[in-house]
Amino acid sequence: MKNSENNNHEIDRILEMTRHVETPPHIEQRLRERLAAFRERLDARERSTATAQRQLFSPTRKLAWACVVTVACVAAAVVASFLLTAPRNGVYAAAMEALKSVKTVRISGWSLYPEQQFYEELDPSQHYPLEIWEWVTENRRYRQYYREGHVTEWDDGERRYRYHEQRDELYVSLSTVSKRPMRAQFEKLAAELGEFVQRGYTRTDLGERTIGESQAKGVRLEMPERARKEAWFDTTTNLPIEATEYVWKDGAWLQLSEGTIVYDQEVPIRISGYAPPKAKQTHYDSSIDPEFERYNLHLRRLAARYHEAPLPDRMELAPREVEEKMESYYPGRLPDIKTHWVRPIHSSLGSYLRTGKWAPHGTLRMPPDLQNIKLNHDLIVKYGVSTRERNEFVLNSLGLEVVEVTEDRKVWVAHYDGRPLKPWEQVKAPVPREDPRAPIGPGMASVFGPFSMVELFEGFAYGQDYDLTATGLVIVDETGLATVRAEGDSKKSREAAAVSNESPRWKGDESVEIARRWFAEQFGVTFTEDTRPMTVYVVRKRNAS
Amino acid sequence: MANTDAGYYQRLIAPIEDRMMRTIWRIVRDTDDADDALQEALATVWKRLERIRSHPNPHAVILRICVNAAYDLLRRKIRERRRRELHAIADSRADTKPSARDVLSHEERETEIFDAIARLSRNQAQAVLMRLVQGQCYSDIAQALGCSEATARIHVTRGRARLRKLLSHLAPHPLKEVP
Repeated sequence: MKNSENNNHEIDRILEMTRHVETPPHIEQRLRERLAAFRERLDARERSTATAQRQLFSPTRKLAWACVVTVACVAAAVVASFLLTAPRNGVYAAAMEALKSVKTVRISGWSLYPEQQFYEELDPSQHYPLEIWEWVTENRRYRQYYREGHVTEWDDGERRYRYHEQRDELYVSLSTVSKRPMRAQFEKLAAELGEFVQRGYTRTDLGERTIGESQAKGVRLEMPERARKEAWFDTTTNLPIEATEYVWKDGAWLQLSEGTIVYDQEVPIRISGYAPPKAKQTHYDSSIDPEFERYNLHLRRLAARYHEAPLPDRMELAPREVEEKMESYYPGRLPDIKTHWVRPIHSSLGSYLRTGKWAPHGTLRMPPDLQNIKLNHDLIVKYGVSTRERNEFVLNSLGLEVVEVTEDRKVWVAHYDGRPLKPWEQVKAPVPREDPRAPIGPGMASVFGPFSMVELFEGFAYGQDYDLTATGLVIVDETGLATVRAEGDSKKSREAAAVSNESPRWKGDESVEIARRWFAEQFGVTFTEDTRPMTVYVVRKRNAS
Repeated sequence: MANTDAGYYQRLIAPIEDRMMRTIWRIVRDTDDADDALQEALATVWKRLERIRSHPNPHAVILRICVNAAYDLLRRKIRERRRRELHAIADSRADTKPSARDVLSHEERETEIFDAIARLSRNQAQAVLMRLVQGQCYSDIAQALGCSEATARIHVTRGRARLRKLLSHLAPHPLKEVP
């Protein structure tokens, strides 16, 4: 117990000592700049809130404020008007029913407020274009696109992007369209209906008129000298097809917005394939892990390119426009593209080829100058293309080629003594890694499995020919143990062939004896040396002899 | 609050500017990370401003947000490092780093401790950092975490107990519980 207390004290002591650590001056200066910028934003917000509060609590402005909040966009105005007029005569239910079979809703028009502003700030001469799309995808997911003035929002079912053109800033958050947006809007406003009625709106029927090819009936809701909404409903479907909104300002009605609603129109590719632009600043909502967000966004932009240009027949090596550091993974999925995937290559050519399977390991030869070629690309690949083909394509794109030569190579022939093998989950690397902060040394686990015997051999050869000279170890497997080599093998088949849970790191000469001992003790696998003609894959500049 | 003479910033942030910066720096110890963590913290303050303003102890809440931002960044970095270690070939630079316990410098021990803190539950980590790094009293921690003072104490105690286990190799001798 004493030791444990000592340890606790040591931890406390070190942590408490950090209380004496001061921020270095150059860092403090940088952080203070951040704080100063934040102060400006906060002050601006405060001024804006103060204005809002003055308006909200001013008797003459109270309704106007409510109006701005409730009908932040024309779609909401339409629905609000619709709800106010409909419930008693069953139109509401009929419209809700009609909405179920609607696949696409498009609202277009204009408004005076692209963001929440206050009536004093509205400029009647400035009409901001408004365009909203909502549609159902083939797999019954909802999508939404919203553009009002200089603000564009795009919800792809996973992420919601809000791009502010004037500020050149992009905000990324989780999708909000788990449920049909228009329906959700209906329901939300239905709940607020009572409140609207209490406020004293009066209703006037505007009669019927023809809008496009539809016959429409109109309704006006008005609170004298405060707010007015007008909506026109298709007499057949009962769905709203036009809406306008006014506010009483300086002794006259000022029109705030106008929207036309069209249903089941084909969604243009510029909307369905919209990709958020590259912004000066990108902000992520705290609810999402930004680690891979930059890459996910990159994939979306990449996919957007192929909405206008054809996808490659097999592959395309696309250079990235900027040297942008981002955490990436593969296969990268291109949204809405099911035929191709992405292999990010942000490394040296040597690293890329070394980690790709080039069977067998230890047979690839590449001069150091070619290994050091820096790549900052995305390889767009059609599903089904083999690794070998991918690698050759990358090399060809860089003016390189692979030639196969036959050489006599020293090989290790692996034999198995037939002993029963331990369950693969119990087989660990020979050297424990006690300090997780220390580098991975010879014989320590570097990758976690399950691994078959041939995969362990490949790991061994990989470490022994790390420099890609094709002069290191080549292992010929004559163990007869099950193997898993094909890409995309299922977990089940991998486990069926598995012999180890860990694949050790075998880099350097000091690894050889540890490996020999480990293979013999754990699996009854021994090696005999031989010289055999082997194929060596030589990477060189094209047309070089 | 909007109608008072002192603004949001002046009342909420200015008095604890230095503490915010120090808190973040003490945890992350990297210029870019400190910058990122502060931005993250300020973004959270921006988003939760209304709630923070109405909180009985807004300064404690903001400091907790700073701890949280730095802690998240710490965890992310550790995840990255683990991934690099497991899925890539170890960085050649790392080969030169000392690893034996007896040559661990104070800074390395400190880093180890922060790594271990990153493995605690969020509440425990926050409580431990607020208590030991920021030196806050339990009532402030409780208010910031939205729990009772007793719960805040439990978070700190359990956090320390778990740290003790995670960092057993830092003990002067091998740990052996004596009955």
